[in-house]
Amino acid sequence: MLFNSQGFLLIFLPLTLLLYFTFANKETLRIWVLISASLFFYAYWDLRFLPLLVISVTFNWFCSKWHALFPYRSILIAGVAVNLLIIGFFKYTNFLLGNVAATAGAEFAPWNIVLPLGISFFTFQQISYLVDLKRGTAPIYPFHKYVLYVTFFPQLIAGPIVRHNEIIKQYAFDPFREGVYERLSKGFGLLFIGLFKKMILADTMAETASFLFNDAAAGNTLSFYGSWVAAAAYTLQIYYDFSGYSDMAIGLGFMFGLTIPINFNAPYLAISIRDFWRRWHITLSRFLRDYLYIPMGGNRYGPARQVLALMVTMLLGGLWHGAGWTFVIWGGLHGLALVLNHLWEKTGMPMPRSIGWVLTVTFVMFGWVIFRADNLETASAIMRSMVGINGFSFNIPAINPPGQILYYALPAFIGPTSQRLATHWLRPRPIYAVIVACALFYLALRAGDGNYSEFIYFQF
Amino acid sequence: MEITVNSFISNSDAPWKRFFRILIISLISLFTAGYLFVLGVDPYGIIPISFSKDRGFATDPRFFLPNLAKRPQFDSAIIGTSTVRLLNPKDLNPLLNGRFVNLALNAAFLFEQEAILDVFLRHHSQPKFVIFGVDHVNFFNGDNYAQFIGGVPENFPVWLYDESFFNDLLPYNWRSIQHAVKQLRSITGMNPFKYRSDGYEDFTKRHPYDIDRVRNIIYGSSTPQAKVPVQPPVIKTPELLKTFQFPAVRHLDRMLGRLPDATLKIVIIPPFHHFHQATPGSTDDIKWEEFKRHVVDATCRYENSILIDYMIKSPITTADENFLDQIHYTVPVAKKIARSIAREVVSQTISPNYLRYCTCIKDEPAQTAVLDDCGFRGQ
Repeated sequence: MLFNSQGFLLIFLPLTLLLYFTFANKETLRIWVLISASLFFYAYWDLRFLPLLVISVTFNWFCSKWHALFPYRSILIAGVAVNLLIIGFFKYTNFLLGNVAATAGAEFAPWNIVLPLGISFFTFQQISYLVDLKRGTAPIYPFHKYVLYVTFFPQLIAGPIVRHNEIIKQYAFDPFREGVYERLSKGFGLLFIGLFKKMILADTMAETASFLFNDAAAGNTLSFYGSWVAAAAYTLQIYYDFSGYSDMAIGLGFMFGLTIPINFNAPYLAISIRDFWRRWHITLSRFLRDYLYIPMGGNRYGPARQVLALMVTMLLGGLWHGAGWTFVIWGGLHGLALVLNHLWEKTGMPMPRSIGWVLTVTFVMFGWVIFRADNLETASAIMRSMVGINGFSFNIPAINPPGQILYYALPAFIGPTSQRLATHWLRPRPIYAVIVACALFYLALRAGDGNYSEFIYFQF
Repeated sequence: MEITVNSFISNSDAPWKRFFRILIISLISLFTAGYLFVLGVDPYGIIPISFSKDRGFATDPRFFLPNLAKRPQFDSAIIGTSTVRLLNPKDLNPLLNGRFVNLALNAAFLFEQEAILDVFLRHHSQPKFVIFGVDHVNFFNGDNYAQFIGGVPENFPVWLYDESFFNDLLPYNWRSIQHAVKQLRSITGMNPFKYRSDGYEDFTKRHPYDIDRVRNIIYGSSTPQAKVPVQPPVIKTPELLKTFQFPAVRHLDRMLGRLPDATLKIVIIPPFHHFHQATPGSTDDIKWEEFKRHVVDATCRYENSILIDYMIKSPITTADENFLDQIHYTVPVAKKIARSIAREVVSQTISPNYLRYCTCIKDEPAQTAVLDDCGFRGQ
């Protein structure tokens, strides 16, 4: 079930809210309401995915219980290994075997493995819990609270990646506590902002990006202008798409009285690549930092170790996005950029903010070309056009009205962030309530037109 | 840095209570009012008693034609694409003593043609006449076959093509609001109805007729050009014939097979401008000949069937003023076609405008020549 579908907006969400608040004063019952709704939400896509989710959650919870009874580290290490094996099988088997076969010069027909939705997200959440148990920083939670921690529908499929210690304690909070109407109202506000970003901004940019990337993949040379439009369109699409999803997830969490950490903080205003990763997919960044970069030594063992830790972290971060060389190279380039960023900072030389911003945004755009392209040849072809190797033609692509990109870029580059809109700009004035209602009415009806598309991060 | 929106929750909840109440009341009011508006205007004619009943339609035919196909006042139908949309029920009704509904859809996929025929047959078990336009896009171009039958086309309103009344009421979206607004504008006289309540639309009225524009479309310039036969002509060989595939013709066969024996099945190959037809002596010419043979095979094995081929060099197809573009003829030509269909139904004639391939008796071998009258005289 997609957030941007009528089934979700007009039936699932109102019913779940109604049931949740009906049983608001019974903690266990309201948690089971959310679990049932979340499992239905997940199974709605494909019932075949449900057993894996249920088994995964149950297995990990039993790992924690066994560890409480028999405090051997090996139980948790085995638990993490099983999680990695599961995600490895579903996500990387074909990639691995394909590359082995290619190296051996053999033919390889990919196995028919269907990637369960959200596996990267719910596996990472559970690994982080097991690691925290191993570190002695996590308690054993009751089964129903642990299940909800993993399956809570707003963040189940594409995050934000939530930590057990920032969400599970909230399950005990009374949904009707002070601020319930503000939370509900701002939740609807964030839902509207997310829907707008996805349905109006991201899906429009997706048309342009898909047209041009497909054109390049078909072997046609994009003009200098066309290649930059392609890169810019995808740069905007992925931001609006993913941050829109995160806004909706946070807004939905808010409606149920739960605070989910934000995932984006105006990433295209970043003035360095380090700054970018503090603003882009924040919950993944902190996961990689806390569970890969710091355990590998971080900056505690000298520059060489730090460079190694950064590169390995970002390469794995790239691979987490998908089983393909484009993702690995994208991650590797970002790792390299972070290394250069650190080295520059160590020299103590100043970097003017405007130059830092231009360099960062330009680098990120080149990175997105690699990330989006079907293969390295296509990425390379588009980037050659971007740097003018194929000339400096300003042929305007048929798909894109001149200037459209610019005004679609405004919210990302000068607009306030979603959280600022919802928290500072949305005031309890009746006219705002009517405006939000009208906007939600329009978007919910648009959702029924049948043109909705999936979110990019569903594939990861 | 852990950033959340939680820290912005204020202490006073009273203004937010009012905000939330207004938000929810506004949402419920908007959704209810919008839905009642769509139901009241009834842009697809699904409500038994509505403003739209028998007044015409202003919206997308894919949405309202299923309803017309169910109506008992019709006993005959026209199935096809834009190349038969100009066949006017008001012309055909007196000529054939039928009550026609034009169910042709612009750029209709085969799937859509079969779907609308399904609806019509579910509600009219013994149709008097069914006219099929065998369109080059769907039927001739076998290369595009996969794309035409590759599942339900995007945005096709499948729920309107079944027998459940209640699921017709469910779809409620921005498109239905837009359609209702268009329909309301026509009901209130602000705009004319685009489609009559028998499905007919004169799409030639959309633009003033301009012969120079038409010639530019047909010839690529405002000066008419002659069609030069290919010299030497391509030789028709068994190997060449094997390369031609017309998989979509079996859909025509299937549609014809679903009609009762008593129904008169009239298949027409609509006229294209001669300049747009296959060049004599070319591979395409042989392909068209082969295509027509397939259509004859599919049509003429059914009882009470007539196949009329207007896709020839004729006074109709060589006059530029008979066309809007390469494949769409004008209203006077549509009237001429209606009259010629009627003549063929009632009695055999020889006309320079078309060829008639027909058997009226089941299992009679197909022939590619004008046949003798086989006794059908209409019903």
